[in-house]
Amino acid sequence: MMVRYGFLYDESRCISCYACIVACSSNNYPELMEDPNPNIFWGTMATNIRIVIKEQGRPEQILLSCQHCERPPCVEVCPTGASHVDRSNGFVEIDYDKCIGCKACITACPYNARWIHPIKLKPMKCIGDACKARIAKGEMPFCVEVCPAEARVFGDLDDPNSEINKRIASAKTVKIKEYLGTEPKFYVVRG
Amino acid sequence: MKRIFAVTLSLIALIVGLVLGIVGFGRKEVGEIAWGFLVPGYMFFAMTAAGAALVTLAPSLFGYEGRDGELRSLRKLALWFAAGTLIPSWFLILLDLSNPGGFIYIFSGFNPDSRIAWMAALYLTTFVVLIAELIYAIVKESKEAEGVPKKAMGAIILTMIGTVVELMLVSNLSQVFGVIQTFPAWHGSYMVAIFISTSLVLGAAGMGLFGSLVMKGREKERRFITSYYGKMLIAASLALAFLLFWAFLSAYFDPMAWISFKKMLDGSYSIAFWSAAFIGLVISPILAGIALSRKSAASLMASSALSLIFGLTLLYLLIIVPQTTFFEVIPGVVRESTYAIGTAEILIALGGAFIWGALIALGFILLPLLPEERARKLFIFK
Repeated sequence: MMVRYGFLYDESRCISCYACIVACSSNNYPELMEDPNPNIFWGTMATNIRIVIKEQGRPEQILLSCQHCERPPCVEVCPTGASHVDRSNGFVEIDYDKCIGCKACITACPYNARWIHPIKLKPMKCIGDACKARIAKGEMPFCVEVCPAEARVFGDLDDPNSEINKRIASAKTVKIKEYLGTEPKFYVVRG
Repeated sequence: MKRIFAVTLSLIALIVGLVLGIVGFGRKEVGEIAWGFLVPGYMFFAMTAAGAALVTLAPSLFGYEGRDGELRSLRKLALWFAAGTLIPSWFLILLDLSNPGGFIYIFSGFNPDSRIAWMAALYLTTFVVLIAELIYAIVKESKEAEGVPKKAMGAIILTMIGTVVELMLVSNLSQVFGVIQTFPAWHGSYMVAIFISTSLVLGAAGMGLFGSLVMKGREKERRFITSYYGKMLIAASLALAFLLFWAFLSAYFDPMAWISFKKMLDGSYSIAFWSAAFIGLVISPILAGIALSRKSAASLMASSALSLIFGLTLLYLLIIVPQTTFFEVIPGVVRESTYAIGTAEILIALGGAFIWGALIALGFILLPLLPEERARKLFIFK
């Protein structure tokens, strides 16, 4: 069955508990939990969710992950086809057998949504293996599952009755850096 | 005996280079930016190689070969210098990958949208064409020495293909960065002009230095090298100075790109930028001018060495500095990163330098690269 998964992040509901980040890290990268400096590229823990904070003026925060773009720059620059769009679910994925670690995808991502695994020295991104396994079983990704404020929504954008489409219809959403023509599938409700 | 000693020394240097590279590869670490020193490092070799072939061979397509055919006599030297310089660029870029053995997937899963995929194809093509040109030149001269005349058409066709491929290599290399929207200081097509002129500066400098060294004691050839590459260095340096000025001027009207360019003008990278610009765009052309007026090979060698340092520094700044500024997904928020060359990168780059020297020396020892030298063994060896 063909689906087109997307994410919604509701900035107005997020309470900044970072449970999503911890859940992502501990489930997708358990091997790095004891590493004192697992994600030098972002300067955070080993997670696919990056904290973007605006401190000047009206404070704002976005907990950002891969936008699973319809036209992903990371896929365009990948020399081997390792980065690709899985048309069966709409995810931008990496075939690690084909990945040579040139890091072109990392420089090309205008969202800075990829980081470098300190041991494998290869790009990491949402969606992690553990989350993918959950989705295959019909469950929600960890970040969505653990969010206490329902600030995160995940679902099929092609299903008009999906929770994500209901939220998109009921709130004013934006797509980030949409002017770049990347056609992201990550919706943000600005707080 | 002297030859065996030189070959042994070159092979030792080659092994030292390989060992340094392997040791460096095992010590690689993650930094705050994705593309570190090895990227400008490999570009330095690739652009020097393409530039050396372009400045020495392309003029023959328009009928210029020097008053007494001096440029023709530098042909084999330039071809080996270019081919031998291209190899360390592969070495650096392969060791910059986390899975160098997987490079074969670039060809098996070729993505035509990817500039890097095209780089792999162009490197291979350029190397094959350079070697084909070199073998053709060696065999042709040997046949002519035996009294068998060969038509010049083969050399012209190969030079034509070589010139096109080398220009494509440098242009495509610039667009590895030019197509990336993440860093506004890279994005756009202006990099093509800067890369081509930098390549000509590096190529002229490389050949000016290498040619002057190997032609020691041959006054006629050295005089030509001093005059020809001296003029090339001045012309290419002035062109590059103008294009850099134009790039900075254009960036001034693009607030996002300007942040990176300003770091070079009066920010944290200004000392490196102004020092490089001073030695590469002021001192080096002056020394090349002195070399021309006084027919001084020493001045040309000094000018060439400074231009090589300038070229490497310029590439470093053009590639590293834009990556230190990321424009966040929330408008107005800028994320700054820092970068320092790591031990692994130094080891791999040193390895590349050893391999470069060893290959150039081996070619000079084993191949008939000097004007009067002819192949005596296995069609192409001295």
